[in-house]
Amino acid sequence: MPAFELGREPQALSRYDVLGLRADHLNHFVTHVGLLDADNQFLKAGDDVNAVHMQPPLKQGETIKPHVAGSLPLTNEEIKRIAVWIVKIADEYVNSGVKDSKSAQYLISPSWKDVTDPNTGVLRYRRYSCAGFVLDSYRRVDIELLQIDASSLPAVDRRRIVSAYPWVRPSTLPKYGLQGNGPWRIVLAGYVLHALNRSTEEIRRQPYQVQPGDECF
Amino acid sequence: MPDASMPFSTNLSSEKRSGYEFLSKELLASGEGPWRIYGTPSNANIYLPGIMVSHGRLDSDTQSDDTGIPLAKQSVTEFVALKKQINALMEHLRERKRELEETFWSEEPSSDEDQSDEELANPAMDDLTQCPPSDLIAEILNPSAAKDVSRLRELILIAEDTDFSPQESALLAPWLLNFALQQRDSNDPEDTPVVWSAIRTGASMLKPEAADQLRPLLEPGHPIETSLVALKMLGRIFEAQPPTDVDQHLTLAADVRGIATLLLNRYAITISQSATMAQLAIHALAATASSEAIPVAETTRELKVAWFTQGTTRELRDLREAWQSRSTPVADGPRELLDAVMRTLTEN
Repeated sequence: MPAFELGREPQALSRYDVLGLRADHLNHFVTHVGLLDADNQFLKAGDDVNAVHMQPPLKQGETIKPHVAGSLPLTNEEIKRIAVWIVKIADEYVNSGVKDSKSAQYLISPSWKDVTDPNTGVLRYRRYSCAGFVLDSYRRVDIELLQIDASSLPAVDRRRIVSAYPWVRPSTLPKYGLQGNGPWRIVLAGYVLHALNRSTEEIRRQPYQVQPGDECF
Repeated sequence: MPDASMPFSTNLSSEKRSGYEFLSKELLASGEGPWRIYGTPSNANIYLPGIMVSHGRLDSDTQSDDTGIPLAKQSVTEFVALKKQINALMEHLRERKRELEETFWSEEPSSDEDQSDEELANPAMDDLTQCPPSDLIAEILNPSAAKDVSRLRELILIAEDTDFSPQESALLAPWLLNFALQQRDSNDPEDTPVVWSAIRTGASMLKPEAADQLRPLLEPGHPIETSLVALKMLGRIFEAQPPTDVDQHLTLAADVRGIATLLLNRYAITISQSATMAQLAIHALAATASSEAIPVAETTRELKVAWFTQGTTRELRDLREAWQSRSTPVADGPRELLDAVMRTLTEN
């Protein structure tokens, strides 16, 4: 199974497979995704596991309890390339201790956006959503998991946004890239699991076209 | 055990305010909530996680005060006992809900909602995050700013998310890079993200001709490691502002070549940190249009480490795309050198 709910039976996962947290009381709505940051694990429901994920800041070396997972057999070469990329950007997301600086690193729409100096155009860092970080990690090895152009994404209304991002005050949505009253065409965490719930060949061949309802898994 | 094959729910309404509003009626009605009603209307069980609550007829017109779910006709004694059980279970469910919230939401960013009313009303924090760039720079450059170290750290981090004018940048960039140079010998972990942020912000403001200012930060061996960030920013400066000719920064290129030479061996690049540094060095040499990039690419190819070569090629491809996307064409020399480096990496 390329993507699955973790249950009582341990499931084999490899480094940089996708881990998801979901809210069962929101009908399996996936609230967060990140990458497994450990080699060859057997995971079952309730297990703690190391993850690298965009909280923000970028979290590494801390455990989470995933509810769902998606696995694409990456080659060792691909795993090393993603590892190098994460080392390269990690300094940009260390815990700063300043609340507003941390939230400035996060973005809901689009899934990522470069922050550059306005005069030189030199990149300082890239803002991400949690799903955006996962998608960009796979892009480092030329795997496009999702079609993320706005016309390919379902509209998400304000109520769903509040469910997905309960820590965001509605009045501050523009800060995270959501202008107006919505609905907005954005990438939600659950889409990544559905993208991985295909054959390996298909995942590598073409990005997933999101369907309405894919926010749940 | 309940018969899971026969779930059903009821939709009888109650005018009374629910005491269990956290269990939404949608969840109860859909059967997706934390409890289930199993069996038939004449012989039903209410089942909560791990515990059977009660059983009896559910086709009564009697309703509970709180849930709107009709209860079975029972004796007063049974009813009182049932209510006690339900109250205990409601407490259990509230506890479960708290646990769920901690599990789910604690994984998310602690930003707005985590701020107390007091914090939200704190003008000091608001002043810092929303003050105009001119005020921010005045505060940072004020000689007395160093007296309040924690505030100075905040100011520097906020500067990374602030747009400064060219004139302000000309003042701030050298200050930030000098701050990083001085503070990299700090043993206070709170200084680490601030030093790195100062390098990113300061370096992002530099014109290519000022890129030599990063040279001291390439030096390794300090409590706060600055060479990786400096090397990365060096490449980014020239990715956004392409060189106009080859070999314009000989001293800088020699420093970077030295880093690449030390790290480009099969042992060092098995470590992600070293591999990253080596890749950044190749990228920086190519971005500065240093002809040193060619022998470094040859060394890389001779290592015959496919994943490293592929990753480096990918980074150079991004560099080429960034240059190609510019409205002003990149000069022939740097562009041709970049193509030559990519060919050298991949040729058999």
